[in-house]
This record gives sequence, C-alpha cells and structure tokens, in this order.
Amino acid sequence: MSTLRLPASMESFGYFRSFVLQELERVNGLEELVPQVDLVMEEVLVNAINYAYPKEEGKIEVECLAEGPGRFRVTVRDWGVPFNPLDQAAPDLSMDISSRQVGGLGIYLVKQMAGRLTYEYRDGGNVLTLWFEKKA
Amino acid sequence: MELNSYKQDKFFIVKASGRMDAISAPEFEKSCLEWIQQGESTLVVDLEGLQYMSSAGLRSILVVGKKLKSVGGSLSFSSLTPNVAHVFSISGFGSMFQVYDSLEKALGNS
Repeated sequence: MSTLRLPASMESFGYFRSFVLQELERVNGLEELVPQVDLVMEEVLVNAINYAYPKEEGKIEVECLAEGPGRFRVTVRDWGVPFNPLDQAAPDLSMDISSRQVGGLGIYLVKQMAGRLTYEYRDGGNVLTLWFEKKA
Repeated sequence: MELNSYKQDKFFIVKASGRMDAISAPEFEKSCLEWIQQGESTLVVDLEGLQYMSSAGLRSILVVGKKLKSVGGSLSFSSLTPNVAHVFSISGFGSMFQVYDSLEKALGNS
C-alpha cells in the first residue's frame, strides 16, 4: 500500500496523477485499466481541489493498493466540506445543446467508469474508495 | 494539448492532439471562442490525435457548442480515438453533436 498526501491545489494534480499511474503500472497485467483510472482520478481530484476547501488551505491524500489479482483500489481523502458524490443526481443526457447544463458530468463519468465506489464521512473527512477491476 | 487550425472553404478546421483535461481544456475553449468572435461559424474539430478527454473537455465543448448555436453556426467532430469515443458515448455528446469517422466525411457532410 502506498500513500501520497499533498496540498489541495492544481499544482499537486500532476504529482497525484503520476503517483497513481505508477502504482498501477507496478501491478502486472492491469495495463488495460490505465485509461479509466486516469480519467476517474482526474475527475475525483479536480473536484476535491476545487470544492473541498473553499476558505482555508487543506490536504488531499491518495492511497493505492493492488487488491488481489486483477483489482486495483484507490482511496481519496480530504478533510474539507462534507461531499457525497453518490448523492449527486445524474445529468439529463437527452437534452439538446441549448438546454443542456454546463457541468455535472465529472461525477457521472466517475460512476460510469469506476467498477465500484463507496463514500463515507469518517474522522472529520471525506473518504471516497474506488475499485477498478480487469474484465474477466 | 496541441491545437492546429486552418480554413478550408466555409469550414474552420481545428486539429486537437494530446490530452484535453482540466489543465488544457480552458485553452481549447478560449481559442474557439476567439475564432467565433472573428466570424468563424462552421467549426470541425478533428480529434484523430487526441488520446484523452475528461469532463473538463466536455464542458469546454459544450460552452463552444452553445456559443455557435447562438450565432447560427455548427460544431462537428471527426476521427475520435477509442477512449474519446467512449467518453462521448456515455456522456451523450455522441448524439448531441455530429460525429464523423473521418475529417473528409465531416467536410463532405456538414
């Protein structure tokens, strides 16, 4: 298990991304998960960077774990505003371009692309856990 | 992300390559809005060289699409790579915009 904790700012984004992709590369046979892990991590991290700490400076922690064959787990923690992404309503994908709302798609992509995700507010922080699984 | 653009007949072609993410998408949006401001209204965005797009890219595309719609223009896409096509598909963008297999087809049909 490896952990990286950095300030919640866009300057940290590239470091988090490299960290997670390197951890994923260290696990043999999970190359096919790279595109979805890459995308989901951007959505989750940018969301936390933009919204977790509206007033003060804060940290984000990312933890990676190869969890048995074919499965990779990432946990993202922050200690900012409580936010449960699972509560967010799905955007209406049938609307035409004039009525379609700008935004709201990130969490939707996360839900579609992560194999499974759970959220809890624990010890004063948001804990989002994501599982990525190789197709059988 | 790298952007290359040129005019061909009525079309204004934008070739985007690399990654359209939270860092680079604002640049795409800003450039497109400037071209629209300069009078371009038939934009074809060729994504043959684009390997990655996140919701930040979708968001910028939607802003540009709304702007073009408001001035009576059009926005279409060509040559999506598998990862980008997947993101277009699950977000509904594949049915909201015209998407062509190749740039040639986009220029023939728009």
